[in-house]
Amino acid sequence: MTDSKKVLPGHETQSDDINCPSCGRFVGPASRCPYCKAKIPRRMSLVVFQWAAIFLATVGLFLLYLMARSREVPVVMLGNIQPTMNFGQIRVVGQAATDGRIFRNGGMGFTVSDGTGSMMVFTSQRQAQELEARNMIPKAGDSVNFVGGLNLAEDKSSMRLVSVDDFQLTRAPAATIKLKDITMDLDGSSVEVTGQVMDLVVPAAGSKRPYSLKLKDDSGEVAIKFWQTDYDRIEGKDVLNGAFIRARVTVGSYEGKLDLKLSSGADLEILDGPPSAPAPTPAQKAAATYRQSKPSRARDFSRGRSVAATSLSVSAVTADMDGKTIRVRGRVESITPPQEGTQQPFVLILADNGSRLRVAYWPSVDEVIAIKPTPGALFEVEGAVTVYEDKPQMRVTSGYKVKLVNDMPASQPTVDESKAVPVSSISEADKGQTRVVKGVLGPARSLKSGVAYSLTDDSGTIDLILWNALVPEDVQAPLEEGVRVVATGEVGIYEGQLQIKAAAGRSVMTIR
Amino acid sequence: MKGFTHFMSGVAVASFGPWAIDAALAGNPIFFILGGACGILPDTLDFKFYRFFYHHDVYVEPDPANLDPQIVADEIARAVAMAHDENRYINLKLSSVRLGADHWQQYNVTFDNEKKEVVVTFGPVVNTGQVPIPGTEDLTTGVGRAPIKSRVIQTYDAALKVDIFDGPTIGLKPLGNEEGDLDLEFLPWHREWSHSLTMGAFLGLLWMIGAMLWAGLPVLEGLTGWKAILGGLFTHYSVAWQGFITIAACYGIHVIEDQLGHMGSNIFYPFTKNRTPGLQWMHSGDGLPNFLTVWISCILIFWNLHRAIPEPTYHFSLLHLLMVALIIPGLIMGALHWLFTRGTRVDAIVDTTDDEWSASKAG
Amino acid sequence: MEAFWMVLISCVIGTVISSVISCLPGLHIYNVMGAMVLGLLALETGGTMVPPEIFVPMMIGMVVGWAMLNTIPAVLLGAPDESAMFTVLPGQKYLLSGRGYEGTMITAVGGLAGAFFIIFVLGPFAPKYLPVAQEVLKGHMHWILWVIITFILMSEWPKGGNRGPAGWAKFYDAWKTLLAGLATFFLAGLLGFIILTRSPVDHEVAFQNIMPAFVGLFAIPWCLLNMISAADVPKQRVVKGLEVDGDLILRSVWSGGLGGGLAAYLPAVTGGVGGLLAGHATAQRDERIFIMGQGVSKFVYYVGSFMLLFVPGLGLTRGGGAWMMKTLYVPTTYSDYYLALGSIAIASAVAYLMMSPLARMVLWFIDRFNYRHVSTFALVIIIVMVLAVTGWVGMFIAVVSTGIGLLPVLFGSRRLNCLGILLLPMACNMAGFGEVITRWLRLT
Repeated sequence: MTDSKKVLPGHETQSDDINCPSCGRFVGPASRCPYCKAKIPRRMSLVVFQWAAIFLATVGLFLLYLMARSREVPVVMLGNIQPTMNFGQIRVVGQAATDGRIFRNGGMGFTVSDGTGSMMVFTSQRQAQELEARNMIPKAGDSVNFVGGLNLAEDKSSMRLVSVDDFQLTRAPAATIKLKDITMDLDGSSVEVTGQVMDLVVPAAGSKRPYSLKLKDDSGEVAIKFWQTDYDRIEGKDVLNGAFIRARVTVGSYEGKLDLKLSSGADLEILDGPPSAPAPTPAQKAAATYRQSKPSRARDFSRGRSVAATSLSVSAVTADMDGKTIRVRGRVESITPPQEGTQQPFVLILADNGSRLRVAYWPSVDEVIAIKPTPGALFEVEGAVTVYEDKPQMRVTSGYKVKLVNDMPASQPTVDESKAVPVSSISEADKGQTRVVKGVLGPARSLKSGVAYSLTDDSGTIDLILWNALVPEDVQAPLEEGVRVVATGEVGIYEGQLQIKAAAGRSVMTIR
Repeated sequence: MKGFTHFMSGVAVASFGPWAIDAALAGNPIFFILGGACGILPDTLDFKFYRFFYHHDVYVEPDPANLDPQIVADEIARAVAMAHDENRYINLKLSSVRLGADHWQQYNVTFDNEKKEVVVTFGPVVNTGQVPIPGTEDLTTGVGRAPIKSRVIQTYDAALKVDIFDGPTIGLKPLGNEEGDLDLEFLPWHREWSHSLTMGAFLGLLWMIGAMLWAGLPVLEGLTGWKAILGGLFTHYSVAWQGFITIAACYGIHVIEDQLGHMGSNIFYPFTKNRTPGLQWMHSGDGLPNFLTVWISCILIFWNLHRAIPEPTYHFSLLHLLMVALIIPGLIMGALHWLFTRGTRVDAIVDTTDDEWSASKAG
Repeated sequence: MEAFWMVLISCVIGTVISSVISCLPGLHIYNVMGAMVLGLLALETGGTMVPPEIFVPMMIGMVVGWAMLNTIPAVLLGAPDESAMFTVLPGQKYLLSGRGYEGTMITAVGGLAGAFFIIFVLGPFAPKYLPVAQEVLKGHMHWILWVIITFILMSEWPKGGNRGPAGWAKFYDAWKTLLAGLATFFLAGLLGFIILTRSPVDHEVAFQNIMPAFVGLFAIPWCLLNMISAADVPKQRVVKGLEVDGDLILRSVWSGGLGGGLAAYLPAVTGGVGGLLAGHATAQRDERIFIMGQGVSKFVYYVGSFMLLFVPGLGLTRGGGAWMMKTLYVPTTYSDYYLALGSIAIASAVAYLMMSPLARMVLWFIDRFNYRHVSTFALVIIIVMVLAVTGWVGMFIAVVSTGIGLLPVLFGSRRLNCLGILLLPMACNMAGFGEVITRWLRLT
């Protein structure tokens, strides 16, 4: 039996209001006793408050929604962005300073500039696909107007595209010019060309090489390169051979030669007949052709950190700087990726006037580097100095701090042909060593993430492996059966066969 | 096992489907969601739906203002008499007794088959965490005893303890023997149809039909040979059969895991009518087996994701992963536990209450 | 002054400041750190550069102090009313039985254990193993969030429907709380979409644009509840010993470290969610483990997420504190990492030593002043803060959020559902279909 005289422990502080005044049982917040059904006086039902909360939440949310929808996102100049605006949404009106680049994860990124500053803009994979489907991947010089979400950090501020629908793109006008007028002076520019297709070279199945379209007008002939995805988007592609076309191409250079790339498959139009438009005057050309301008200098977010505003030369780095964070500029002498199966860092050797500096960073850092270091190119890196055997080294922890300054090699060629060794001299004992070989390429074999060629010289044959992640597309583009090349890379063994794994960057060079 | 354990096991099983990882990398999380959801779904069906529609013949609802164990004992005896006299299955509901916002009166029911009586004792007042409030052990005194017409055989060793939130249901099933014994089924609405491999397959089939209707008819023009046609069909209906496998496997892992405990499940409903007793290797609320299952599930998920990376920067074997993530930390934890508890006598707490039932109320 | 002394002094100052602030109900250290960032930027504009050797350890000290001492208001100023029909947390039970001091000190021991966990377990192993985990998991965060959301929504069990005959009435009685939980989650998610896509808060202070929503979802309902129905707190006892042992600490670290670690590492997952998952995973029943585990979890969540920014080669930014730090300084070297670990260790020791006197001070305060007045005071501070930083628009967001935040309080569902504000939009965005929803909502 219950001892009714005892009060439950903890109930000393309990208000009488929570018990039924009629039968004394616990009723909690109920307005009617569940035992004796008595109405609890002076108690407003909890239900009233519950519905009041639901009302407040839904009506308030709806008003907030209306407010948000009707609010214009403010246009903010990139140079006026403050750290307190982090996570904010702003509208940017400016120009694409670089071409949109599709990343390995499927997302896309480009740099926007509005005259007061510049910033990287990222899109999701889905957004990139939508933009591509609408032919709205920005090209350098295009005018853009969009809303972005800010992600500000001391060293790598960026924006995230909020909406594809809201993304407005106006293509930079491109001059229609004669083929003979396309020169290296137009490097980085978008131009419009017209002419007749003389030949379309389709890459072999499984090949990683691009399509090559030979275009001729009354002034000359050029080859325009494009990839399978662009080819698929060309309307009427089945009748390309012999057709008159108008196309927008980006002028580039490769090993001192002109390299024309189709901007997009949607930028190639098949004409009914020979183009009749008169050639523009030089003044018109100057007005219409966009020349890629240098992006504005990034804002200095160093905020009192002990990093010098200007870069040091390689020779200026000393062991006394141990622990300091510095910025150094130098030519890439070599880049060594970690060996498979190891947890080693990438090792970059920067050289300058006979001085060399070892720079190390982890693969996770390498993934972020927008333009990978290649031998011969001038790079600027920022990181901490460490000392090993009294020699200074650098450790870089952010991919954003490895920046290309100039990709033109200084003087010597990328691969030193004079160091080439006969293929037959390479043995299993050389595994892991770097060797330079010279010879003629055999047929291409497609690999999962790269391509393999047999390379034959007077002494023998060896496989040359080019991983897509390491050897840039433009290096791979001219390679085909019969081409004579000199290549540098590490000796490896796969299924008992010797092979040369082409080093990262411009490690393969065509020669006469 | 506890809900989270089932949930993680489901996610782990889903991760073995290469399609799940491919879809996830393309931004589609559906197979992993299906895995986790189906892992916990059997308990969700029972505890969130079925039990509220389960009919009871006798409700025992002790009055908080007059806590008399004899009334409770008499009501239980009445239910036993109904099962005996009417020779039918009787569902008995033992309701909880709420005394305050955080106070519940605990009571225990024991069937003494030697004396053919039911014994009801009122225990301490407990809080919502099922922890006794000090000083309440003797608050309600007395023992209720009532004679029962039949012996009540307990095959599942759960003590009939009633405390917080919802009280348990007891099924009294005539065994049909000469003595007129009754079989006691704890929570008869639990681990029945919902905890069967066939139910998992059925739900998978529903998904498959829905997905096939969504996908529409395949275009098989130009395909010659049965292999090519079969391949075309599999490609066209990939979401359908992949979903079927994921649902059936993740639902099934719940049933298999529950079979390691005491209560068991009705594995092949409707082909089997009763629960198959479990292997009794563990109680469903035991901390260590639950944690180990969750942790091993996490390791397997991690391993499957690692295997799917085409060119990983870091290379390691499953054994390496197990050493780093499980065996070495486990040994260190075990050594520390031994260090901290050596010399102290730890009495094993044998709580035979169905932990899953308790956990569902505490969750 | 030598860098060593600069670091030491600023770390201690940061810890002491945050320890005192932690005792004030309603204020969050991230709001204070936000104000500090504004101050530093203003100084910079004026030409005065504050070196990172001063503000980095100070911010670490602030985070550590908060993580350790915020238990004081959580336990001592969170007295639930007995007439509220819902579950009372173990810490609050300690308060109602006059053992509030003991409850806070047990949590503090958990915080100290969390500091040991961070310095001696996470510290040495994080640079080696976290990059591996990051490589494996980086493309999978979106479904991990979806799986967590699924579990949060599926694991809440009905609390009603305990009496009466079977049928729809019983089913509805049981499902009222669950439906309220679902409604809370999706309303909070909708609010999240609005704020994260097109925040009405002025873009000049966008770094605090989610603050009014969090204040409304969590802090204001807590104050209102206390003001309306706070219980009389019994006389509190100050004890010299704690009812804990090594094994209890070990198991708390196991449970809390797992929960806090998960929350620190996964985006949009807070300490509450991590604690829920770890609680389910480790199946610990002892209330002392729950309380101490909360201390460990909270410490590992706040301090661990901040520390991730310093892990060399990882480059992960988790938590509001780390994001604020990033606008001023991005750590890059092992030197920064050792600075962070050292500051955490020093700050943890200082914060723990301040725990007892500050807890006693708050107990004295509770004894002297009416509990309701304390909650009113906290509410005033919160409102002033919201108005000062985000203006009337922010206040409006806070009011709307309060409506959503009151739903779980009034219906007895999990308050964790309010985290839909971050979980839902972030999971959608990470999976890549956030824009589909915002387009459908006509927000973009």
